[in-house]
Amino acid sequence: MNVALLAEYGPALLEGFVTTLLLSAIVLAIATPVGALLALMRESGQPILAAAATVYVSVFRLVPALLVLFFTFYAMPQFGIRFSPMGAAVLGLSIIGSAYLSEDIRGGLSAIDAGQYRAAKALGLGWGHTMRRIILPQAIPIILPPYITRAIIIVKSTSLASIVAVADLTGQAVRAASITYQPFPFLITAGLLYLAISGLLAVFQAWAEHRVSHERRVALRTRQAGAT
Amino acid sequence: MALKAIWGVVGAGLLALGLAGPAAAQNFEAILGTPKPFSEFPKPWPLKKLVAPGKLTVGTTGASPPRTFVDPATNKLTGSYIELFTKIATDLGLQVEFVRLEWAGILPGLAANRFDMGCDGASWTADRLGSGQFLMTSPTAVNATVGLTRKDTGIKTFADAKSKTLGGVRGEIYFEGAKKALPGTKVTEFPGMQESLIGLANGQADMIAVNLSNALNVLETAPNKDQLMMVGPALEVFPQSLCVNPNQPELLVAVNLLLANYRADGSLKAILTKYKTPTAEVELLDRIGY
Repeated sequence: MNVALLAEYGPALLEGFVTTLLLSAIVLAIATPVGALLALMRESGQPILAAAATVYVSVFRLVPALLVLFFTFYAMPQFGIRFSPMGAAVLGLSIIGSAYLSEDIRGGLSAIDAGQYRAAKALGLGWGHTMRRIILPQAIPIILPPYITRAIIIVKSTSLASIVAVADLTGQAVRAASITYQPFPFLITAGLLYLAISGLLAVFQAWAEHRVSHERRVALRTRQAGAT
Repeated sequence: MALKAIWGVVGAGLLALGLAGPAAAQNFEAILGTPKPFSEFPKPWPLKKLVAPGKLTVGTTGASPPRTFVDPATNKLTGSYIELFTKIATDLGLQVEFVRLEWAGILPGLAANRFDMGCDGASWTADRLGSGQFLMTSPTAVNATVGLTRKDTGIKTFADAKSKTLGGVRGEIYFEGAKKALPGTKVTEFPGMQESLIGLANGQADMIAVNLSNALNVLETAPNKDQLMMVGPALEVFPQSLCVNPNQPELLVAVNLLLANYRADGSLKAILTKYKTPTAEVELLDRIGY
């Protein structure tokens, strides 16, 4: 490993790392509510809303992310719509990410027994109330593991942004490798930094799962104590 | 008197040497006859570390016309450097086998012993020449950093581009050199040449820094060539060469010998200029000492 070269290109790699973190955070911040909205639309029982969400999710799950990114950055200017490299990457990755996240969230919602919906209806609760107070508190622990897994996949997919001229971690590593013709130190460093971000998310997943199961155990014990 | 005699002898000696120099050179040339490229090399060359015995395995992108590209008419890999690699293989008594892959995989492939040769004319830099990941042959051509711009940008020289957006292929030394020459200029880094050209057409870049060979090819073949123009004079000039597997120094010796022969007998110029590349690309090697 050539330490002098790494030191020379270190600031650029760090800049790329920050760009990757920022891009990941923005994409997750947009894709999560959009994905949740799409999942709720599909579970709403409203045929038009459900059909619209189904079409969106089906199309963007089946189209390669690279194609969507190419379209947002290279093709849209030909229709008079021009995004900055970062803007195009956020748009493209959020579109794809929300489609996948909606399926993870819908899976969690579907796992809740239909009896819960019927019971809430029998109690006279509206759809929004039922979701907020009955379904989501039970669905979130189910959604959490696939959500974090998807978040890790989204972080890794930000490397595609280098294709649309974003100077992210992959872009900076490829740039340094191209200048020096020494790919190994830069690709290994980039891999380690991606591992660090994904690792932190995996640690967060373990912590959140532990926390949720702990709270459930406490709630169960409280209920059992109340019953006796 | 004695001093006069000594000066006489010294003067006569110097005169004799002065006259003998050109005469000796003429004799030397007369005895040599017309110099011929050195042909007494081993045939076949004993290359024991080839990736596949009896084959010269070459990594190439097939995406850098006119050097390496897929001919749309025949769907076959072709180009000036494809012909050069083929000739090298033939002259070494080997079969050539091309492996097409992205540029990002070629150098790691050489270091990982997957290819014997690669690089369709890689420009020299201190980092590259000192790299332990691959070896660089003697130069095959001269290349230079120029700009390509749309005619409507008003850019005539590199200095005009200071307030504009400069584009180029990420990590290419031509683009990196232009970035250093135009500090403070807004920059957009594209992943490849084709994307740079789309970005230039879209207005995402006002000028792209490229090598002279690519610029000439674009101005000859691009669908929007009438809207484009070259920006000069060149910022930097580079010798370019092929890359060799770092485990095969004997292949480097063999290839360098063949390249010297191709320079001497004119076949290097004939091959590299076959695809509308200017002959100056090879001829100017003399001007930089090769």
